[in-house]
Amino acid sequence: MDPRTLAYFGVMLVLIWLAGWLFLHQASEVASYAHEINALMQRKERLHRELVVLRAEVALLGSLSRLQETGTEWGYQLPSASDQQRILRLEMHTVAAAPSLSSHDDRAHDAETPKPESSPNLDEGLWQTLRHKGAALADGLFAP
Amino acid sequence: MDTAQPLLQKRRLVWLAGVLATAGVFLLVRLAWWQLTPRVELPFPMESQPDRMRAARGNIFDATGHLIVASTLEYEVGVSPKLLSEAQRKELAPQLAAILGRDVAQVADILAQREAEYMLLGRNLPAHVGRQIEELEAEAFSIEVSFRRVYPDGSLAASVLGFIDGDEQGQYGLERYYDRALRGVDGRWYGVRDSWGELIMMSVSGYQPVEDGADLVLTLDRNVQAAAERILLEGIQHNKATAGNVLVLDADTGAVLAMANYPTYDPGRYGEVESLEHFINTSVSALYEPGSVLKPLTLAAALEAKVIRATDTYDDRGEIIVGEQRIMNSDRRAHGLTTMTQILEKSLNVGAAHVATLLGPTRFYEMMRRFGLGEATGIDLALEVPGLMRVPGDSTWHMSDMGTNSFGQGISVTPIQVASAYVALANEGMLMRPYLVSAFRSAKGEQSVSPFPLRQAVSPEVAETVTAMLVEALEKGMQRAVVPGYRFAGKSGTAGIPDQEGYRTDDIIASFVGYGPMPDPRFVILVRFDRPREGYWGVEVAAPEFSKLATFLVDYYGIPPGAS
Repeated sequence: MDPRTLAYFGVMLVLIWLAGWLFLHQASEVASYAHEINALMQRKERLHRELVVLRAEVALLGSLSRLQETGTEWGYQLPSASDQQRILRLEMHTVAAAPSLSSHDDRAHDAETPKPESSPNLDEGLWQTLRHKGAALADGLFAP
Repeated sequence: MDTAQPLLQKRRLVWLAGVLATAGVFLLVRLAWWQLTPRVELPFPMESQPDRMRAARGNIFDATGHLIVASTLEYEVGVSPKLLSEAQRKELAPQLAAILGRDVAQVADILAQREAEYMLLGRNLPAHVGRQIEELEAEAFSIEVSFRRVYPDGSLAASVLGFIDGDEQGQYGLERYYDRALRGVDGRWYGVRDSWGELIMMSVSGYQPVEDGADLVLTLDRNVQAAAERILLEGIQHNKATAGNVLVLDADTGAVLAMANYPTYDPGRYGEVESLEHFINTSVSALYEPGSVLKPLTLAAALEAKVIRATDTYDDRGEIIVGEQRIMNSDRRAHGLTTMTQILEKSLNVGAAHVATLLGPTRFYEMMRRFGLGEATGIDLALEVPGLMRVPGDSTWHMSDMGTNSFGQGISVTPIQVASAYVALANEGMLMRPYLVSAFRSAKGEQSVSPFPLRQAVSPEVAETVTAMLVEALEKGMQRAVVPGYRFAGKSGTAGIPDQEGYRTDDIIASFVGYGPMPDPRFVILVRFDRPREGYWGVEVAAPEFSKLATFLVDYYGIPPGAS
């Protein structure tokens, strides 16, 4: 047999072997992934069941009867329907008459409190000083 | 040398090469097929077996976020003694006995049944027991898991919730109405089994993830529900009544805050009820003649039609003839010059019938329909009934029916219909559909439910006028319903129960319906007692319980007096 033919068959065999190896490798990888998926699915199912059970236990721990028992142990009592001690009661009082605007101490409605004449703020500018003096003069002129 | 020999060899080699090449090409094509087309199902149909992951049924939360219905797991455990070795029997017997809380000898007897394919070890076992048995990891065990409903608050709101029967079907109440949403979808996945019996998923399309049922979030507040049930039971016992209802609805939206019925049952032990009638939610599924609580609707109808004004009066002579039937006041007295408000204050049948005659049958029944009488409210509960109201055109209707219907006799309604009609009065005349579920929660997110306005039953002005009349009537004529520091509107009712011979005077239904506190009502409350033996009139029997529940509600919601 000539070397060329031998080489040809050798290459064919190698290729077939490679294809076969790839096939087996892929098949076994698929199977191993499938087993892993199976294990994860079973774990998911177990966790799912555990979540369901835990939620039910939380519900039982938060039941009204258990809260009432615990409250009673701690000295709390449900009020009766006729108990009005805890009902919020608003008491209305007559509001005192607002002081007149000419009052020396009236500062209630002025956001910028005017400084008293006797103690001018020396840090204010000239305009502010003139304004305050003007207001004081006007109050004096128009006082009842 | 013969030249045919080399030629033959060459031909054989060529054939061999061809066969090998063909095999190689086939393998390459198949490999490419699996790599490039992953969605193709593998051809193992004879061996594909689906495995199932059970979906948990949805939970039910109250308005405060507490679980009032949950699901838990139950295990049924069996063993195949045939598959156990002697060593395993000796090892497992004491372990199983400790886990199951049974006698070791008893368990050993079960395991000793060498020829038995299957022996039951326990049924309805709690989850922690089942998990311990699973951890033993013995091939001979057969473990079945099922879901069971848990009701942490016992019989609270039983007739609203319903229950799950042995076939896991929702029965009555919300469990039945929302059965499909609560049920969920089981997860499934397909594949083949290997030599150890393990399922191997072989394609992506062979997997369907499990979808647990949607959780329901209710409008019902378990604290208000508990108070309503407590007050109902106290009223039943005090008045020696046979049955009763208490309903609390949100005056703006029609949402049900509480729905208490008596008698009731424990949904976790539904098999132990004395009578199947206990399963019926009488708030939506049982009819009764409401009596005088319908008088405000008659007046509202007449005001809307402008056949009367709130300041009108009439001469009450103690009786009136409507459709050849004589109608009298319950006290058999004439009250002379009477105002519209006094019709409510003194609960005068003659006044109500007089107003109905001014309306006429067409407008009267049209208005009753607008208030939702004679039709189902559409509440999301199973087995609601529409009620019975004969109207002109029905073969059995007579003009005298309008006279009696005007004060709530000869007409059959459900408690939820009456409460909903009063929601319309409290809500500027807008009739709302009552509802119990405010949201659905699932893995996909939360879906809220909005209130359902149905129609404008009466104008806001008429609703306000009737409300003012009811407040005055309550404070002057029904003082037992007064809530100190607050103003409520309300009306009592005392209705005879009809039988084949007419109305029985000794058996009545006593009720009270009201709403408040003013000026912006928050609640509508209906209280009803069947056949009370202590006390007779609605104002004696039901009004005090209304006052108790209203006092609880203003306290619970922190509503200060004189405001809301």
